[in-house]
Amino acid sequence: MKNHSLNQLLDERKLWRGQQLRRSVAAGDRLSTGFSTLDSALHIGGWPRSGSTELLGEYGIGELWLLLPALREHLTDRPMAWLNPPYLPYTPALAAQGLAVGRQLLVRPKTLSEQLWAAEELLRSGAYAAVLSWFSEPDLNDRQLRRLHIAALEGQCWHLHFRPASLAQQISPAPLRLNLSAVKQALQINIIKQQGGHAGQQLQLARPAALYLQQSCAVTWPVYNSTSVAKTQPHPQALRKISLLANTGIFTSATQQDNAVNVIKTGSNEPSH
Amino acid sequence: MLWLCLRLPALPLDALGAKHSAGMLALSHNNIIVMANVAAQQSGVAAGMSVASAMSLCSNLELRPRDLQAEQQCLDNIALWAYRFSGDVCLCPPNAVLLELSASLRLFKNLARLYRKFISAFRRRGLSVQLGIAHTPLAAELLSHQSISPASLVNASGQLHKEALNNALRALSISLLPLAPKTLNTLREMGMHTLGHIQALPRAELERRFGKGITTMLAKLQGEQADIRPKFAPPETFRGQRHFDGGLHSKQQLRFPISALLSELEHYLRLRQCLNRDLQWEFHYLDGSKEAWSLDLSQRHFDRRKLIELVMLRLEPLSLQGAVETLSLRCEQFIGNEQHCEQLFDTANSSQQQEKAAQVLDKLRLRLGSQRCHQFALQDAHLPELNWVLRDAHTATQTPAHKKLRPTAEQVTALSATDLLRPNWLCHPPEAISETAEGLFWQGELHLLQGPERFDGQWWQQRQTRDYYIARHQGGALCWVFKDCLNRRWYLHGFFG
Repeated sequence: MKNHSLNQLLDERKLWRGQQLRRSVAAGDRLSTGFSTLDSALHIGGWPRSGSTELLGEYGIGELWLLLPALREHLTDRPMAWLNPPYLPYTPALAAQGLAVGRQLLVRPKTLSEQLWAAEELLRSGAYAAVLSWFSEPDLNDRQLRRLHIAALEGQCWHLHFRPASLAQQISPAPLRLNLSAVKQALQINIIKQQGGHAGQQLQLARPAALYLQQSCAVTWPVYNSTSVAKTQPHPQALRKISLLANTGIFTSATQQDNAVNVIKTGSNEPSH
Repeated sequence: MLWLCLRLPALPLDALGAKHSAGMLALSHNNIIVMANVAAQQSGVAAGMSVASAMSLCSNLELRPRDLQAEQQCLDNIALWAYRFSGDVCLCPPNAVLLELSASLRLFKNLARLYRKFISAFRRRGLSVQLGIAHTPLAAELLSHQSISPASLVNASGQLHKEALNNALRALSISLLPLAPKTLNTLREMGMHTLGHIQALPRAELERRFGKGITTMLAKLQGEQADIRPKFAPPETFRGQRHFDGGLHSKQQLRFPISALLSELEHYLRLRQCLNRDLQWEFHYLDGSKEAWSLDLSQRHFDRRKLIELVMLRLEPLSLQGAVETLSLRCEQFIGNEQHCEQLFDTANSSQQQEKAAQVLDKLRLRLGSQRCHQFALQDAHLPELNWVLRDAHTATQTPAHKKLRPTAEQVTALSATDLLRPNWLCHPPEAISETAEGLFWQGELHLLQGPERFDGQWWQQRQTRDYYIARHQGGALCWVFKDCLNRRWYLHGFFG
């Protein structure tokens, strides 16, 4: 009797076996993240090529850096679009990291309804490989999220949906959801939900060490308040030391990315939604 | 040579679109009735009557002035339409169009098929037409006055039956000939009523009696002398309009006429082998006011269905200020059709892809405004806020040069140290950081990690000297901050996203 009802659920596609799904995702449907540890933590072995992917977290913790290898790959195929980003994407830096300048579109609609409309148009058009979206009101309802996901599937477009971390507990139709946070010199990734198996993996990707290079303790930094500006003058040597440090070879050696990364698999066997 | 003449005997009525009105209607010009509709003809009104006598015949006759301009416009439209069947189209005012068909036969294969196309097209438009077919333009013109079925004159492969054609010509009344009225009168008095009678006379005698005109006419009729007529050429700009008698009140009702106008435009573009860059629409309201609205396009080929959606989208924010009596469309900017070659194996960057991108961009620019869609471009400058520019995105898909901007994989791996120390996010304009006794504060504490990197530039305008540092925000984000050395304040200028 029990078995019967289970079969019924499987027939109605309310339940599916993760193992089967994993196999069904062909190699062409995913794209390597560029980080081997993240690839192995994701059951399909990389980023999905279409559909919504939610990235929950703050700005400036390495969220773009995480996506750059995949976006570089995407841009050889089709252009990408930025929809209502919170700050301006700094093109010279992105170009230096391999994102072609001429293949990016920046769209900044005013109201939420226009943003949703533009997102759906961009996703559905099939002309863009990736759409990075931020909405002025991140708390979208299930119907809106599902529409975006389906539009992305139809247009064969990778929808990167950036949302604040406070929405991690909310249910979302996106098949892949990552919670991003900053830890010491690294980016902490918690996989909240993913297709093809249990979620809950946690891993850290070390960001380029050159960014975190700490030259000396803050005491020797120039003093902030204007009254004590004069005090900076007696320490010209200290300042010179800092600028000298900046020009040494430490920077070049620090460009290697993700070495020292630990994957901490937690015991949670929470199935993906 | 095979000439077809399309004659519209009821053009003055057709041009006004009034042919189907049930009541009695007549057109007048200089107080003379020019044409009457069937109902009026039945009660005795005929062309050539004075208005007064027509009115005395039937008192409820509706009189309208003849609109010569509309007739000319209608004839031009027919010529434009005929231009898709033949490259040799001539206007024969007041009411006929001539086409040379022998070259078109090679394309359309079968004359009967072509002929059916003409008939059905005119029937659809509700225009009555008479056709004449012959080996010279003048003969075709004359034959079109009598509705002789072309099937009896010509076979399907375009071969004329000489005998039948000559018989038909011989039977033509002389009053149709393009001769001076005085000559016609004399001929009639001589007892000659058909063309056959004149043709039987010796030419030299005719010329001596009536002058050179009659012999050249006969020579042109037989094809012995070339009959050169000015060719019709499609106009440089496209104009189309639709008139609604009662006026339209809703936008949904406008969809059908818009689609019809766009299909007219589509044919026009195919004739001229070009693409339009703008659509200029105009509403004429019943109260006489006008409203113009336009649409810029960046499409690379004409797709009517997509275009209708775009036009309806453009129409959405507009509100009709009354009933629309006339809808007109005008296009003035054209570019030549781009002959793009597609590669056999390159599927990724195909023109179809670019077409899709252009379409979605058109939609976005239309709804959001072009100032909300941007494209990046790099610029050589020292300051971070000056070495990029935002451009309007309409040139986005037309620059294939972007390929060379993309660094190769080797370049990417060999990033120089300074490239890594540039943020992915830029705060523009920079946000002020407050200084407190504890340190820097911007939505949380900031701790400086490394620096300074001095930017000193723009001395030719307003000198800027800044020391850039990388700072860690309380929440873990890495910020790019700078101290303006001139006013000694701190600013946040970016995030290492």
